[in-house]
Amino acid sequence: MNRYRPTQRRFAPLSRRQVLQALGLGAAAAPLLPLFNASGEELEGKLPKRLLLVFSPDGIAARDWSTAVDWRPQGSESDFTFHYIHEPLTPMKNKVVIPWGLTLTAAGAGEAHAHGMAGLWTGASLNGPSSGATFDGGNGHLTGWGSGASVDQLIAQGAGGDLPYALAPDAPNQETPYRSVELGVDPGGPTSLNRMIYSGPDSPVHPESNARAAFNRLFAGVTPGSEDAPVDPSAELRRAEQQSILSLGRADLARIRKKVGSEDYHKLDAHLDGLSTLEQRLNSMNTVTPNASCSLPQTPPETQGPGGPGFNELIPPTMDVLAHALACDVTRVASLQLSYGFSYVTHTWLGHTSQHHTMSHDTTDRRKELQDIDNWYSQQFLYLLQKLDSFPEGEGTLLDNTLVVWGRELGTTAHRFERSPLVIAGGKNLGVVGGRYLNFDGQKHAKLLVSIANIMGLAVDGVGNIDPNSGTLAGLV
Amino acid sequence: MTGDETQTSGESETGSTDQGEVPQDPDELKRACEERDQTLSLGLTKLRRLTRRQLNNTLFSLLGVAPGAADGLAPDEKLGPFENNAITPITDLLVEQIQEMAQSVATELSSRRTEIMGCDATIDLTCAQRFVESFGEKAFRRPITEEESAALLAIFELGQANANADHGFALLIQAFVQSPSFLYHVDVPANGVATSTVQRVGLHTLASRLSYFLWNSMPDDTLFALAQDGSLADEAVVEAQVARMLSDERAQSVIGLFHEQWLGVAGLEEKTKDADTYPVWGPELAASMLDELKRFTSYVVRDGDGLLRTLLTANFTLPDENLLALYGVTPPPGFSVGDVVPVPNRSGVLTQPAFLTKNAHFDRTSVVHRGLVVRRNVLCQTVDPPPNNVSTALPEATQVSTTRELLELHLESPSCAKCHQAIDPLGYAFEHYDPIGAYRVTDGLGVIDASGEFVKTGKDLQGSYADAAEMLAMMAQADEVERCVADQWFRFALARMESLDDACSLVELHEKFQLSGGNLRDLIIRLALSAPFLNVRSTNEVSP
Repeated sequence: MNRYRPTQRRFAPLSRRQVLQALGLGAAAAPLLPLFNASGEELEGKLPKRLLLVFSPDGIAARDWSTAVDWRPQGSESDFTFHYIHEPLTPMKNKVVIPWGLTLTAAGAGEAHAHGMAGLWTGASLNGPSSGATFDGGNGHLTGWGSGASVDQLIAQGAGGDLPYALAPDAPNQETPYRSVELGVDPGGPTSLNRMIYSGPDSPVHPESNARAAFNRLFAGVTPGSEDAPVDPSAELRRAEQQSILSLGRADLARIRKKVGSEDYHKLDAHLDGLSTLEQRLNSMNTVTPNASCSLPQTPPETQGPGGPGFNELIPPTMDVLAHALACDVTRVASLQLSYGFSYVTHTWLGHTSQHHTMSHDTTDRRKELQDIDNWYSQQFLYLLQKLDSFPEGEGTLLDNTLVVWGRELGTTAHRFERSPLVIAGGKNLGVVGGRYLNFDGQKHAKLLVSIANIMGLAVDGVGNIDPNSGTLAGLV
Repeated sequence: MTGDETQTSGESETGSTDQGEVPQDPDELKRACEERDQTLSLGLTKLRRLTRRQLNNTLFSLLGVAPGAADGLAPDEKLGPFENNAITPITDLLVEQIQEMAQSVATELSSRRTEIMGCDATIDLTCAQRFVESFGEKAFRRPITEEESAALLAIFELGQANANADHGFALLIQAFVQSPSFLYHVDVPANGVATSTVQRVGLHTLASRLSYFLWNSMPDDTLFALAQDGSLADEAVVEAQVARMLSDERAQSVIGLFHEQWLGVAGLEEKTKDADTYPVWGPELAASMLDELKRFTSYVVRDGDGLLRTLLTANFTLPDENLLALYGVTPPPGFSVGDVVPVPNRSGVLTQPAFLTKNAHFDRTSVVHRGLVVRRNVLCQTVDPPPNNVSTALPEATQVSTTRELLELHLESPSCAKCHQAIDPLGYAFEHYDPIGAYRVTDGLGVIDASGEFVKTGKDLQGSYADAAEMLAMMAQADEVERCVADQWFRFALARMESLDDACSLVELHEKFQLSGGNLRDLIIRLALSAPFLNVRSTNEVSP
């Protein structure tokens, strides 16, 4: 297993890089060393745990509820074949779990697409419009924002114990440059239909949709290689300069606080948090050491939008950025949003001429084409899993140390939440046994959220306000 | 289909700062005003981040930065149909994206240090200080305090000490662009402190309100000077400035922007259309359509008769060659872009290709989308959510001859009919216009029937119509439409939603707009001189 013999016990709060330098070791040796918690005490030598949430849009094809395609795998728990929509996952079957039959725990304002989106990772309801917020909740129905934090953010903000991070989110030095990373490919503008990650009530987290910008940002301080990069003597000066600029921003926010009402204080606090995060990053840039298997991905294409790479062409490079970011310990909690609820993507590469969502409510039967879309998304998911599995870590791979969950905002295209096609992958070293199909018919997906939290080391009985005491999904681990 | 216990219908929660829904009914609105007992009350003006478009315009006005500097920021929220970042707090990603924007702006400007500073800080010891003080006032759109300028000067000096004046300048630009005082609209009265009572807005705030309303950019030197010397306190001066600003080219873009957002046309260039049927569709034609919308609406509001009626019923437009071809009109002799050209079978902005194309599918029209925009944005009605878990798949089409007959299947299902009986007829009126807005007589299945009747509309907007021209002529005379348009301009001008506390201001605005015969130019001027525009209330909390 991924246990490493502790080499030396330390009590001083040294950064990882300081420890490495003191031991005369380079970056390549980093994963062989134990991690230290905030007080410098040694933790059990483990590779970091990671969580990756993936989204693709819309439910399983249905003309109406009674005609929903039954995507149940065929066979027994450990000996089964995937339905067509998941068939491409076959090569990675031994690292995949199909939790068949879960009903999404989602409720609230807007269309099902909107509160499905808000509830997918939060288990919380979608607020109605308030304070003049009039976000598109589908077909012109107005909503506010979701009412709770998503499970990935709860995990990212947690610290200690068996969680991915030992250091608290406000610790001056961080174990990774980013507490969490959110990427999207065509994730749409900031409306309730298009956002699934929330840091708290009414606080959506926008994904970065420009893979090139994400690449430049995430790997700015990463220097893979067997030796430490030569120290740039001006780096400390540059760091101090940027620190001064951020301090100026803090002082400005303090002055603005006197000019606005208490109704706006949370906006200033959010900005202060953002500045703090940048300060932490400045501090941590010097101390974070990439894992042994870290390498930089190919530089993603520059342009987006009309004339640029299409939706399908941007998915692999974006997945590469995420996988390499996890491999390089740029972050340990991440999400990837492909399109959005109410997807207007036209899958021209599948020969389609109508948009995804439009086809889902067409007057003619488009179930075959809709399943082709599902099958195509499985091919994308397979690419991601294989990528994660290509990074050796300890005696296994990055995928073995990463819990991957793929969800959608609906059960079926008939706007029902039952039997939502969720997929779990990886996480072998976190206790997830792959190669299984489990029948959870009728059980609430809030239980899955609780299981995700528990697997990642967050001890809770409920996630979200819809079913706050759901308990875990018995039998998953 | 019935919902199950996990899927409760959406209940609106009103926040503590909301004073309830603003009634659509004019009599109820008047009563709400009377309850306010003649004392001026106002909805809250909140702290809001500049939009990407505002940042691009402001960086251009301030520093000549090439357009697009802010395009890497996460997209803007909307209030009503309009871009506005007043609700959701900033995120860590945005703070970092702003840092990156500031760094790239500084890099872009690196060769222009002495030009921008107006002096050479390597030989002139007071250069940097003078620059920080004068530039700071523009960047922050208000006077800069000694404390602030000292801190900014220190940034310059730090960079100069660490490297050289160029580096100091680069850091200074980074600091300015990342300053919350640059990034946020902070609307304050003259004393600069949040107010729970209605107070006259400070003159620098007023200058910014005017410039972001009419130009979507920062105030120019004239406005700064009038704020600085106090002249802007005089309403006659404000009125003269509004006239000056409306005649500026920047106002053309803003009037275009209003209509683009009001009619839900943003993102037109990203639509895909069936290339076999619509080979002319592409980014160039999309740009032609958006430019036409801008030219036409700006012409009506600024140069023409200014009337809402003309906006909604004009049988002319200001096309380019691409659109003349789409209209099937031969270019008149000596034609150039910007000329007013009569076009057949058209009736104002809702029958122009931008609206019709954006609200249509890949290979067919969308009666529902077109009808929905009219219902929500032109009639200002909210559409109730459908019952949860209703099947939105239409029944199987067997013997239908037109798209319309296909859609009329909506009415066979009571759960669909509830909303669609009020939406679809508004969309049917546009059935003579294909997915890229070209006029047609048949839709490939049968002869177009564009007739309909108003459902769930006010008492002055009743009856049936034969086509879009008739429907729009009726709407152009309806109080309901006039009130809605006035409300939309209120949201756009004040950068906030109206609230019950604005009841008296709205009643007055509606009455004056009606008395002017629905004159949009007059409405814009009146808004800039209205009590909500000249005053501010920013908190419900009474200060200790």
